[in-house]
Amino acid sequence: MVMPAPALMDFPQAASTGGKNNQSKSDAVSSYRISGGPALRATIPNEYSAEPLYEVILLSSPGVTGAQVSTDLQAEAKGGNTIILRSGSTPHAQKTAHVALQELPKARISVLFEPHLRHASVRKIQTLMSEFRQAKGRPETSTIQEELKSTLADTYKQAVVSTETRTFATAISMLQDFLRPHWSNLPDQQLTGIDAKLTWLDSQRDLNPPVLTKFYTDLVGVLGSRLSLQAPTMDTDDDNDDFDQ
Amino acid sequence: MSVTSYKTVFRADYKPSLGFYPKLFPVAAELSGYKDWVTTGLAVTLQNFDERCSVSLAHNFFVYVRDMKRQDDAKFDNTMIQPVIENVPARLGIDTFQRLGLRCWFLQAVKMQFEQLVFIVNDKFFLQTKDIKEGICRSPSDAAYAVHFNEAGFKVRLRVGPMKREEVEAQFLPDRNSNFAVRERALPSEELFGDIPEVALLMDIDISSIEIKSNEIAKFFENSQALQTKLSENIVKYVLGVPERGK
Repeated sequence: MVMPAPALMDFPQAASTGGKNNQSKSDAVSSYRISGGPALRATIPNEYSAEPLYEVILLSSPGVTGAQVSTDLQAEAKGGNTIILRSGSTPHAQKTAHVALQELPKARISVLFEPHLRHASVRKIQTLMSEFRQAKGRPETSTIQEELKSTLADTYKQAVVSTETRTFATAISMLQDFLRPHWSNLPDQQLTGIDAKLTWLDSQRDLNPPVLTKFYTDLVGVLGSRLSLQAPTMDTDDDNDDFDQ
Repeated sequence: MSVTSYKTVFRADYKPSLGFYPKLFPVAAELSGYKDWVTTGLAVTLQNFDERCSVSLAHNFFVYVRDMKRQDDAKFDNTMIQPVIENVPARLGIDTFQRLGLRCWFLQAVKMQFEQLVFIVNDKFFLQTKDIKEGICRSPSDAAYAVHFNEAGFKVRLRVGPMKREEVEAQFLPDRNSNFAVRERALPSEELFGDIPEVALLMDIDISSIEIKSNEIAKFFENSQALQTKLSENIVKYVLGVPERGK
């Protein structure tokens, strides 16, 4: 994960002066260590004598709960190893009306990539198909149509590189092949049917051969044609030609 | 469902008073469960190397840290923090805390490549407009969702993103001196943190509040911990949740 702005937090190895409203610090006193505990577990004083105790950089600022306990905020900050984007106290949360965060509904968690790629891709394709439907008869139709073709091609390319996602690539390839002869005339009814089949595909736990077979027969039912083994003769779209294998 | 936590920091800041110093060691000595200790004379850190946790007492703050020790729920932190918040503020005579903060680092292990998790995080948290894709970033190689917000009177700082095991030191900043046994401190990262998932979704949640009466510290801890749990679970559901079958 890309790092946020790191900062520092102070640790009072410095002598401190304080009072009711006074919280200043004098210069840091030289640190020394006294250790205790059972003999076998005791910290050995000289082992890290080259490193001042607690002198570490941490992800913190006065408004952050630091990840470590550090010696001196100012000294570390001047050291050049850290960037404090916003030093000093941050304004405290406004006491706004209390609206508690809701617990999200139960979800099936998948730690595999394929279901997520499938979900994201289906959502994107469905969005473009919806735009395509609305744009029909208008000048932007061909632009959206090309975008849809390009998205299908990109999705195929992304899915085909990994063994885990290859069955999804097959499903996308089927969809490309089914759509190819219909681009010039895709009635709303067919678009709605494809949309529903994609939703069904997205909801499947695994993309196994029976699921792919059903997806194929469902597409046949919606588009009313079967895949042709003959190479297309009219389509000159380069991207799609890549997938006629 | 609970998300595995690998690090917790609970810190209380207060105004210093000279009355602190005579009480420092007696108060520290009353906290059990820490076999080792280290002191500068002005502050003390109690250490439990078996559980990789520590409590530090200083003139203007006390802090509990559990460092890179996997816990599948909040029970352990509760057990260790409760005695601190029940005894230390009262014994030190603290009236008001300038700030209380509970920060937790959670990891949800995944079985995918780092780049694939980047794709998911990017898809779930960021706009995918044409302008962004064509004019700013075509496809990110790393990503992080970082926001600050207010919730139920708390200030929340949240970071969510994919993490590789090699990033452990940078993301968690483990404090080897305070929380690791002497024999472990010099071990290379890959040996010391070999049990960390190779690729995981990292959630770093810092919940804080300022100007809290000392008798409200237990309530702060309870509520902030509940918020930690809810946020971490919601994030996992949101990022790694997939449509239910048949819907």
